[in-house]
Amino acid sequence: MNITKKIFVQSMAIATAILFLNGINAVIQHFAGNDIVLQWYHPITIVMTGILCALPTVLLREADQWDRKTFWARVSIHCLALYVIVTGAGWIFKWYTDVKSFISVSIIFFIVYAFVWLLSHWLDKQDEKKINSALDTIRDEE
Amino acid sequence: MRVRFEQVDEKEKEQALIRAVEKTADILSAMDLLENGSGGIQVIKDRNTFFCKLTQIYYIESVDKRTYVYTKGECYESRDRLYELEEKLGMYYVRISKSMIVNLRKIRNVSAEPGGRMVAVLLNGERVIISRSYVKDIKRRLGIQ
Repeated sequence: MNITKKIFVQSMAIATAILFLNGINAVIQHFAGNDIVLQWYHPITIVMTGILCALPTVLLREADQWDRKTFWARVSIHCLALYVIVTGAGWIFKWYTDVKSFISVSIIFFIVYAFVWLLSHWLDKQDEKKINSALDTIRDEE
Repeated sequence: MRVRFEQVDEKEKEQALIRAVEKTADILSAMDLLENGSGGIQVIKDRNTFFCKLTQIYYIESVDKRTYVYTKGECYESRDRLYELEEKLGMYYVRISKSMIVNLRKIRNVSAEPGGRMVAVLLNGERVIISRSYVKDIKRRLGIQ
């Protein structure tokens, strides 16, 4: 997949994920007695944040070529870059009503980031199992 | 023995089924030919040319426009480029990175690493890296959906 297509796909995925999490948060808040009301500009700012968040993907290009140290260093920079974009966008687009909402956005961000990596690694582990059992049937004897 | 040929549209769909009473020497050599192609490639070591059987090759690597063929304990050079060898090798040879082709039958196991790449441990204990973008090809070659 070329980098433009990758950025576009990720933009859409991130925007959808933010809308999804906001939706869940709104449902939870409603049953807790606090209704969340979206402003007219909120949906478009979410899409714009999705596009901005997809840009640091360039940092992870050819990640499979790096050694472990470089990989984790780049992932950390990627995570921080996304955090700055998300919290910065929240500040510019006035998503936060108080410090509490800023903290909850920060917590949600790190949970989602870790979840995406864990899910992706879990899927890779499933592939690992499938490949190993297929290799068992064709392996040469030494 | 009656032999039947049926055309398919994709290389991944190619397969041969031999129905026989027992595995005779002829059948074993037919299986070897079908699985490993014409049998080998020409390689060079210390200015001498050898014939290296495909069943002996662990992996083939391209370094600085030179192609190296690795067996259990030896390293040879090949005059062919990696993409040229790809055509000649059997169905169990698959590209695992831009510069490497591995013999799937020589892989002891693979393990997934964070970032999507995999590490393959070969039967001789060597470890080679499978790039994320080639994992799909390996799965297809092994008939995994």
